[in-house]
Amino acid sequence: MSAVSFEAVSFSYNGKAVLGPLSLSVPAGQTLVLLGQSGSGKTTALRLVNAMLVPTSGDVMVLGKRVKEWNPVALRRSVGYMIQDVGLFPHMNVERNIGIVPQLLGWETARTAERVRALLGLLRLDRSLATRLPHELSGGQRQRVGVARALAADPPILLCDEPFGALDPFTRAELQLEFRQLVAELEKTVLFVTHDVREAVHLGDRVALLDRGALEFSGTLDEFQQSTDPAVSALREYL
Amino acid sequence: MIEFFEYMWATRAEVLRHTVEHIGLVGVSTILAVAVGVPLGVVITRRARLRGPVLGVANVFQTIPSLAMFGFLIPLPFIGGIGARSAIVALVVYALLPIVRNTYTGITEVDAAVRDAAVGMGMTDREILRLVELPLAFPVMIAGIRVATVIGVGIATIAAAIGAGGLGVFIFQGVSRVDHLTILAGAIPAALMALILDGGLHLVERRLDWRRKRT
Repeated sequence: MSAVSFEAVSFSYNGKAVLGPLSLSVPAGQTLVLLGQSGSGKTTALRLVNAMLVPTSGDVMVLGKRVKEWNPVALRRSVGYMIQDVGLFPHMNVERNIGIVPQLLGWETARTAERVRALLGLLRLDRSLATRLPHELSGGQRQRVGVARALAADPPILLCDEPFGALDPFTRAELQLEFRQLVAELEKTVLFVTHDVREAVHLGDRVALLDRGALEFSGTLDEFQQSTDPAVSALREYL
Repeated sequence: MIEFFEYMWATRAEVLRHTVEHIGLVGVSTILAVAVGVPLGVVITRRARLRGPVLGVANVFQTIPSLAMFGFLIPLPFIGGIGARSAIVALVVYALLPIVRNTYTGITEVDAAVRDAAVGMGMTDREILRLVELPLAFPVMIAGIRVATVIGVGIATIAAAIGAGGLGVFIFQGVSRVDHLTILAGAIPAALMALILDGGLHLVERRLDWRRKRT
């Protein structure tokens, strides 16, 4: 069963076609990497999933239901979201940042606190960091907090928009590895946007290549690595 | 100098009374201006079409000479007349611009990535305002309230012209009698009041600044 699918989805902005028509599905529990340059429409595709954008035509299905039939707020609370600049709330300490979605969902304080402790452990963040503000953390720590926050209410789906883009190569490699293990273990369905072919190959079960709003290639990681499509083989040069 | 202190001591009861009146005028008008100005500032972050008119009107209010403003209010029913009510209305009008503008600026300066994350987490507009935008905008908003308060202390001295009392009473008396001591008996406490309020609100501003770690 697919957790997320795009059914002939297109999106235009000010009358200019940005994406599509795109048909693509992500099987539950798998990671789909949306690969493309800037302006390829990959971020647009991601934002259509949690109703941050509304398709001009076609439908995005999430957990068997059309996005337009979801209440946007309820949808976003059941889909984890991570972005490049992390978007941690600068005035909230680590604990409050991680616990924000549970708080919005009205969890009891004790349950939230317990969940936050568990996530700190899961992301290998020292418990003493719980009371720090985001600007008192390193880039890698901030991104770990971002992952923890996205996982807080245990959403079945994670949307990631180049979350590791701003990290140094070492921290980045470390986080990619951990992230891969984590989502596999937790059986999350992940849509991961990146422009980095290596990251795509590290993280993806499936790869979709977007070029100026059109789907150039879509398939499993194996298919991506064996494809004779000139666009794909050109990209493989970067590996 | 000694002469001044002797004069202040001799008239201490009056100085105290007018100081209290003055604090009352500034306090009440600032509280009202916050009650009106902060919601207005929030509204214009949500309704872009209202931004120009609201800031424009507040701006124009600011340019009306204060003595003229007090004069205009005297003949008006309900909000005007002789006394403290007119004075408070005028002071609210002057305080609006810095409060509205700083609320607006504080909120619009919130990092786009932070707001994007808030929407993506599934916050409603009200939750974004309450949990993210207002706390982040607080230092800027308090700075606006600070400016409004200091301006208010100065303008409130003119309220004596329409019988609203306050430290301006000494100033007007002193001017008409060409008596420096009486002018100073109004001007010096007013200046001190402005300094103290400015300093006090500056402390509040720093306390509320999220960049400073809470203990």
